[in-house]
Amino acid sequence: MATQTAEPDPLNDAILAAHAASDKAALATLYRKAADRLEPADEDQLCFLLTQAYIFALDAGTAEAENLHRRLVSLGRER
Amino acid sequence: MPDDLSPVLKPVAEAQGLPNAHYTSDETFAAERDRILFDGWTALTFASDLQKPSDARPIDFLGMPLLVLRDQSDTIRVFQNTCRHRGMILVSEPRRIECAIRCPYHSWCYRLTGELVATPHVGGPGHNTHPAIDRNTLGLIEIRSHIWRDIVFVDIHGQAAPFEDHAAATIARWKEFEGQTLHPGGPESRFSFDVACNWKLAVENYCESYHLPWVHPGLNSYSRLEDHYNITARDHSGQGTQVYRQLIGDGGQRFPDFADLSDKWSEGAEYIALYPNLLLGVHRDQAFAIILEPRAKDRTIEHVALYYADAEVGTPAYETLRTRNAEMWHTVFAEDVFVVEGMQRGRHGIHFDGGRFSPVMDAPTHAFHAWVAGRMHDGDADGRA
Repeated sequence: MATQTAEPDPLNDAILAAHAASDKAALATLYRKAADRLEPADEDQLCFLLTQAYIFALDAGTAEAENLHRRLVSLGRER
Repeated sequence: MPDDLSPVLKPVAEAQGLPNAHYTSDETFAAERDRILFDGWTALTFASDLQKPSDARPIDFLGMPLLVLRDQSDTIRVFQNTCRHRGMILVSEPRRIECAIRCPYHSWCYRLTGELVATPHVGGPGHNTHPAIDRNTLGLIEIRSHIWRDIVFVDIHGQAAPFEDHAAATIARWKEFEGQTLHPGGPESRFSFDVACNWKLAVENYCESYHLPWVHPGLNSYSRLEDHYNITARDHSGQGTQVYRQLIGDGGQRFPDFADLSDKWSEGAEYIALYPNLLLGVHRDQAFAIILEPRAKDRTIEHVALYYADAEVGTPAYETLRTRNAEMWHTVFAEDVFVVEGMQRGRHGIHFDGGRFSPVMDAPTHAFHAWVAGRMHDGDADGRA
């Protein structure tokens, strides 16, 4: 019987590890990186990931929050 | 609440104390919560527990979830600790909140000033706004609060007269101390007692001097009963002494005095209960506050904080004297525990009628009973109908 294994994804692993550690600053950076590697056409998924990054940046109080907020506003997803 | 409170409101020589139900009944305890502790200015916590901007402390006050925050501009606010979305508790442990309060459920985020600033995916994945969700109307519910003498007071129902009116008589009594900074001591200057009694018993015992020679014999040598006087007023009652003696350490070290005090305070000290749940003491060189946290009809946490007139007292140079002082007060307050716990047990005597008061010695206690009875009866002590 053949087994199916997922492609290794170090970024996904890093996000899960940061969630487990409640490392909000890392989560903001990692979700932003995940957003940045998406194809531009995938706007909903892009905005989902940018939102995740934005919320964790707000929570952590990192300077990244402002830039992420701007990106979401420019995409019509935040006010 | 079946009891007739009119005997409590009679003059002290004729009055009886509050009926047993006010100490033993869950129903009366719940009524007290609504008519007294939530309906007027009640002491909640110490402002100095939030030392730095971004410090946040959740407090469960009689089942009401509260969040006390110091924001980046050093303003302390109290909020209901409940997300406006699905009612999740927002903050569960004391911690620093740098920028936003993020609900751990769906991550709605609030500024430290209470505004709702982010509603992730509220309009679908990646869509963070929706016409039905008006952030301007969904900020955290702020609880009216006021800080005085390092105490954070809350008016949970939000209908009380301004704090300065509520505590006007107390502020006037201690006007010489008004505005002077209270400097917390070190860790030894904060302690608490978990006491098996109704919160009112701690007030009743604190505000009279009648028990001093029996319960605090160590104080009797220099703090004689005849040197004490009763204090009764609209918002407080208690006792004063005319023979306060400063603690003197090695080499004659003393705590520095508060500034510009009159001669009254050279050997005077006063101990009052600011109704409903704050016990205070002032002396020329130190002060203390005891917040009574009612946890149940028969359980109270007494949170004690000692303060000094000069920040230097918090340094190692005063550590020995501070420690002696804290040990002295700890001993005195601990001596009262068997009394208040004993009165709690005694209140289960079904034939006890609330008891009588010494017309001479118990006026401060009667004043508190009468205040409680007035609030329970018609809630008019702060001018409300």
